[in-house]
Amino acid sequence: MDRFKYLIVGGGVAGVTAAEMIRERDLEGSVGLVNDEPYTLYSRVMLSKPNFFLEKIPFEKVWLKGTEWYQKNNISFIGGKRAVGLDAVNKVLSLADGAKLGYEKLLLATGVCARRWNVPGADKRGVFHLRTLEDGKSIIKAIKSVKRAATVGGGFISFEMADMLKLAGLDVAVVIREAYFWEPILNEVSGLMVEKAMTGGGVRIVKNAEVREVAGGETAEAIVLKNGTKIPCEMIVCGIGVVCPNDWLQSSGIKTAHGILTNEYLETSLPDVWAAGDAAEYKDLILEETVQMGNWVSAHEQGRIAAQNMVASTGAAGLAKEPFRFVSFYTTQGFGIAIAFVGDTRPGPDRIVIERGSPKINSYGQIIIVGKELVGATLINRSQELTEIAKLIQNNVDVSTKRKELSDPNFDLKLLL
Amino acid sequence: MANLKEYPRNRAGSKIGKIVIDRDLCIGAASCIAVSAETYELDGENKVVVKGPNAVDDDVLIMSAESCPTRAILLFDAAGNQIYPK
Repeated sequence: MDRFKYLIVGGGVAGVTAAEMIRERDLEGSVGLVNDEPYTLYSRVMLSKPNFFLEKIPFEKVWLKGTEWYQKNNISFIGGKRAVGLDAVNKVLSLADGAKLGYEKLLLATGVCARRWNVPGADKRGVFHLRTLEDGKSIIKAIKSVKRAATVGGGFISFEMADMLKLAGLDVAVVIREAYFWEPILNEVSGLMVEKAMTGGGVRIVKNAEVREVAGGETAEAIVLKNGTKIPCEMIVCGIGVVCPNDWLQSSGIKTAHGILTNEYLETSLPDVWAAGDAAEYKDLILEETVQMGNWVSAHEQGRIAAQNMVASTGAAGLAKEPFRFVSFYTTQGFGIAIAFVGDTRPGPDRIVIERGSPKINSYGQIIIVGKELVGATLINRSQELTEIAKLIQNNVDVSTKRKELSDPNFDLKLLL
Repeated sequence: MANLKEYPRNRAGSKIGKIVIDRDLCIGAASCIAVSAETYELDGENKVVVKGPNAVDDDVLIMSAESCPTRAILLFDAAGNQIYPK
């Protein structure tokens, strides 16, 4: 049985960043990296970008690290292998092919999976989800042979895919269960701005849609709603959220909720096991609650911190463990509109929303406050304020007497820092 | 033609003489900002601009470029040779 000083499950940005940082801090210790996909690090973010799909960016750009990088850094890449069991007592990870790997320190950076659409007919050819490079390749191939497409879901995958499909010259319908796009993360004013941009770009949005089935033969031909409406489409991309495939960990006794639970050091409930990236549901020191924030930026930062703490736990000289303290953010753009999400944007009864700007000036934000402090914001065509808002959240700035300033779109937020 | 924006750097002791942002590739993922908010910010087009080319040392700057999911940050030495991506 191979045994690694550091074993990482997950070859995405969290896992690979962790491997890189471990190697920087421990030149000798063996590092193994197990990935269920056969691929070295690629840009999962690129997978939903129109320029990539329409091949305006060469496909090769998707690769962020090649096999030579793993070799050069003496990281054993174990690709195309799925982890199926964890024995935390004997410190052994089991793989689907029967192989077993020993570890001293283990990082779970397994990510999340696309939630499967389970209406009748959703298994027909032409129905896609988007998580892996294979998914991306299949969609690139499909767009070349169809005329009508639909996206299902009211979030960023659906938004970016609709933009891409439209740019590819297809007729595009967007099917959402909600009353407006991006409900409830965006408020209605923001959601309607996004919808206006989308419909202005030639996309048809079908709201409050309850899908009965995907009609067709072997291949999808239409989405049929419960009210009888038929939306003809030969291709459907689903972006209806994520699920965390943590069943394989249950027998280890690790504590999970929606994700794998960790403290602020990204330590799980098991000794010598950490979690990072989309899979981690961590104690957020800024928000003072346990959250899961799946995005590239968080995954990168968590990989870095987990690595630091794994190496520090070996007693390496001069290294102390470090808490993960970070305001997460991500942005998207399409249909001529840019949307940024900063910090905690979940709606809730304790949240006060301050509006900043307006649809009239095509620039609008919702600043979200709990108590005296900012916890999050969504920004439409105001991405330039992302950094200041992240700092206001990070520094726990008391804004209780600054509502007027926050609601003035011309007020320079730097002055509050 | 690629839409490149160049930012000269003259930090003492640095091997990096220029930061270049490929605005066609930049998608505003903002991971570089997470690594170094002193160096980068987003503009109104959701693209990264360099506000502090001399703010951080080479290690941090390279890490910020490596964090980019579209490799939109290019680093050059003083002689104009590309250091990253290699």
